[in-house]
Order: sequence, then C-alpha cells, then structure tokens
Amino acid sequence: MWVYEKKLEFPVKIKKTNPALAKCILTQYGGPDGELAASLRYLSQRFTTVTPEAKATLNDIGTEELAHLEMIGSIVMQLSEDADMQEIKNQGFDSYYVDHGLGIYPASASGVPFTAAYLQSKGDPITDLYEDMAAEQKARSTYEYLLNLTDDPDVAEPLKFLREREIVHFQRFGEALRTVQDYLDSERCFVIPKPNFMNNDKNCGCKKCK
Amino acid sequence: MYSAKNCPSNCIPYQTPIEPSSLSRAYVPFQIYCSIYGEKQSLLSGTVFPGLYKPYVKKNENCGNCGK
Repeated sequence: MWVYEKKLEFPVKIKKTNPALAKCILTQYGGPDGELAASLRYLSQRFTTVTPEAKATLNDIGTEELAHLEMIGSIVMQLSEDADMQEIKNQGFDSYYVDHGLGIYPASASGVPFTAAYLQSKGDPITDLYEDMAAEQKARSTYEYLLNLTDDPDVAEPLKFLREREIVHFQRFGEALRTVQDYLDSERCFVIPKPNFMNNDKNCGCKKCK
Repeated sequence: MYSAKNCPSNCIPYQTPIEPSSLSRAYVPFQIYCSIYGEKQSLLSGTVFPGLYKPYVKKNENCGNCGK
C-alpha cells in the first residue's frame, strides 16, 4: 500500500523550452537505465529477498524511484509543453511528436518503448543486489551524460539531485548486501526439545536401578 | 564495536571492520553516522549525509566521455 504526497521530491520549474533536451531526458523515464525500470526492479525483487533490512531497502528505494519518475516526467513536460512547430521540427522532436504528440510516454531517447527486459528479478538475493548496485551506477552515468548536455540551471539542479540519490542508493544496497551475505553465511541452529522418555535417567532398566 | 577515526565522539559506531574473509565478493563498508546537513543544505545536496555527498564536476565542455 502506498501514500501519495502531492508534491515533487525536488522542485522542477523550467522556464526555457528545449524539445531536443526533453527527448534525451525522457530516457530516464522509460529507457534502459531509467527510473521506471529501477522502480519495477526493486519493487519486484523485494518479494523474494531475505533479511528485513534488505526488504525495507528495496521497498523504500523502489518507492523513491517512483518519485524520481514523477520528477523526470515533469522535466520532460516543462521542456516541451510550449514548443512551437518550428522548434519541434528543427530540434529533432518531430519523430517523437508523430507518435506521442507532447504526451509523456515511457521510451528511451532513441524512441524504443519501455520493456521489462531492462530489468531482472532472479530470485537469488545476492544476484539481485549486485544487479541493483550496477543499476545505480548506470543511472548515475546517464545523469552525468545528461548534465554534459545542458547548461540550463533549471534543468541541471534537479538532475544533480537525482544523480546524488543514485550514489546514496548504491551505499544502501551495499549495506543490504552485507546483511544478506552475513545472514546466508550464518550457521543456523535447530533446537529440538528432548523427549520426555529420554529424561527418565533414574531408572534406566538395568539391574542396579531396579 | 568499531569507532571511526577522524570522527567526533558523538557519532554512532555501527560496524565491525570488514575482514577480507572471502574471495569473489564485493563489500561496501557500513556508513558511520557522524554529522548531518540542515534541511535546506540536504535538499540542495540530495543527501543529508556529508560523507555521501559526491557532486559531479564537468571536466571538459567539449568532451563526450567526461565521466572518466
């Protein structure tokens, strides 16, 4: 169950239209290393992980990724909503426009629609956490490439925020990995109470006892 | 319990140091909670923890592989 907060995690207020940049940033919405893939990955993996810490980490970060998805959607919308036909044509947004207009559609920057093939839920807690740590690094790289593509501080500030969140999430998954490794390594002790008939040591049935 | 070096006495000791116990494994050290940013600085930094704040610096405006 979720509770929705009607505000963004970090404010997005973009003044300058830039459809070309909107198309690039869309990749963090529905691209291979985007927020939707991240969210679905963590929220799916949480069902089969071990240790309460790892479950909570996957649940919390999967939820936060949905907040990031909302931020990315807002950025793309604000970068493209006031674009005129000339800007749409000149800035290479026309190929997106014919399929989706100015709607926000989960696709990569090159227009490939979102697919669950971007993520894995392997059923092995160690394998899953390694994938999650790699995913955070891939998302961080993507944010850095996007930051290389813009000088507009209205766009760069939320992107820097999102990039920093990837670093924090990497740390949290690393800590979760440690708890899972320790748990799987720990020796489990199964205690079975001694049956009553074995406690009757005063009279074992031998000649002396009798 | 492990208490961090270069850390004020009020930080929370959390972990024992990682021992190089096993090959073919990745480890991330547990975070040690020392100080935290205020509300405004946390929002601007993207984290409440100074130790985790690692901002991106563009190295060359014209290079396409500046992450390296």
